[in-house]
Amino acid sequence: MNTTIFKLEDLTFSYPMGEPVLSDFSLSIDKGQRVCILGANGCGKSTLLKILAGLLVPQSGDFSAFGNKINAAALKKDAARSYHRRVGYIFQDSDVQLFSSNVREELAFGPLQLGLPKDQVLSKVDDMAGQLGIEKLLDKPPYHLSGGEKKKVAIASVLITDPEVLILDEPTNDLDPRSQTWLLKLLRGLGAEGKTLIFATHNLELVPHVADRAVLFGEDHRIHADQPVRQLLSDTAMLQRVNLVDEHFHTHPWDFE
Amino acid sequence: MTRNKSNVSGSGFIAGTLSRFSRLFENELYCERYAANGRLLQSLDPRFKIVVVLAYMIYGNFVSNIAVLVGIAIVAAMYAGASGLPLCDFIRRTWLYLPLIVFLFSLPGATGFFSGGAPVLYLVPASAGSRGLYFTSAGLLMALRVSLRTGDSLSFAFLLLMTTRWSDITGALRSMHLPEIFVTVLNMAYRYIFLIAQIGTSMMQARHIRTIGRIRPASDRRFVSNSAGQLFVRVHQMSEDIYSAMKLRGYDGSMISLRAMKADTLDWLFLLINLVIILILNLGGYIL
Repeated sequence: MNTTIFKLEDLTFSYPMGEPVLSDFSLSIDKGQRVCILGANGCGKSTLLKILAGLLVPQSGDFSAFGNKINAAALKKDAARSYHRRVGYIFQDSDVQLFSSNVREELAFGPLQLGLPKDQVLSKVDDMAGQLGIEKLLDKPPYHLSGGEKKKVAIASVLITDPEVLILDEPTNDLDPRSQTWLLKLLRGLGAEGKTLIFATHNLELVPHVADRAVLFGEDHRIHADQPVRQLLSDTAMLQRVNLVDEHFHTHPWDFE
Repeated sequence: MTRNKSNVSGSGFIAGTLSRFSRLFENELYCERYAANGRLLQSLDPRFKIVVVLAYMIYGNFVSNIAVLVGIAIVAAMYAGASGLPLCDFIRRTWLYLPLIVFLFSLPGATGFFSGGAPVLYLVPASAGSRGLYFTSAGLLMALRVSLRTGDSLSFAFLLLMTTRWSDITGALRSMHLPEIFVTVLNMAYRYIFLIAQIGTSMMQARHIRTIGRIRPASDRRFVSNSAGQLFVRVHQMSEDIYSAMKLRGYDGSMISLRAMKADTLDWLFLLINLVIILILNLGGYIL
């Protein structure tokens, strides 16, 4: 049985008037994998995540997801809707994701657009709020929430549609240590449920707890390593070569516990 | 209720702008607090409130009797009291600024130059060959009428905003069959104005803490134009991300909303009572 969810082959992408962010890029991600994308700022991590989420379409190369070829034509109207139902994306800046006037409406937005009946949506909203411990926030407008609360609501607003793949761009940004631990437990739980997790982060302490596999980008926008997380994080010389860490970086055995 | 003072120190353009941003947030928190207190107007269906508020505004703009206009203002103040809004603050916010300014700006039109009628108060006494400069009774009544109409409309608009959450107002507009795109744009503009104000505040603060001594007005102006440009670029990028976030959750141009409103007896009674009040005011206008 073919378990590959995403397959990218010889892919090239560049923004208008810009240098290529990805060129001759190949990567394959299987169902249920927990993949972490690492690399210095500006190496193309967020661009890759947006391509996987169907927000950007590469200029050349093959990109297939769930066994189907993905291109601009495959991401129109109903096809886009069914693709986005399977792939959830959590933005680095939670504010862009919270556009409704209160948290209840924010959580209900996705299921409503996907055509679920209102009573079912309301029940899903209550369930999701209970699971993530945000019941007290339901009637609050987004601008009254703290950074951690915004992130929780943003995650809940995506998880409520139960996507098979969850993509997170810098998920621990703006989170205090307590909220980071909360997020870590949540991601571990989602991974244990069999969801495919793909995330980009600079938080190397988080990585071994959540990911099995790490893909390391270099500043030349190419993949320098694709290895099990622990193996890759132990290779500090390689991490230094791609300018992700400096000579003071080190790992402890307990980082991997 | 004591008014929150802005926590921005210093004076001048930047401190003033920071202070205004700061007041925007305070005002929002102030509105949210009263919209959630569960008193008279807060417990009513927002659609009925919108209809009644519009009815008073329209009626007030057609009526010319001063006593009726004062009567409308009293009705608004009574509703404010019954809804738990602090009366002094309500009157200060609605009557102290705009109606007063409108009255003062209308005063030139109240002089004998522009309006006929008997002189009430001479500014320049009449002399041989000159009629002098004076206010006429008709002119002063006209200025008072314009000012009262402004105050009445402001009072009811303020009542609606203070006793209704923004999400309920837009929900009501939606269920009253206003175009979906109009309500969505209104909603998102309201949602993001706070975020933009926050970014603006950070930019102003960054400049404020690096400012030593006086800054020339030309430099201030340059800073404002640069900041406006930067803010525009950031907001433009953000708007693209917001649209992407909506698309990712199934949005394809037609929004489906959660809100369903249901009117009960109290709402219909509220509508009826206000119709009776308007009829009484109208009748009173004929008698007085």
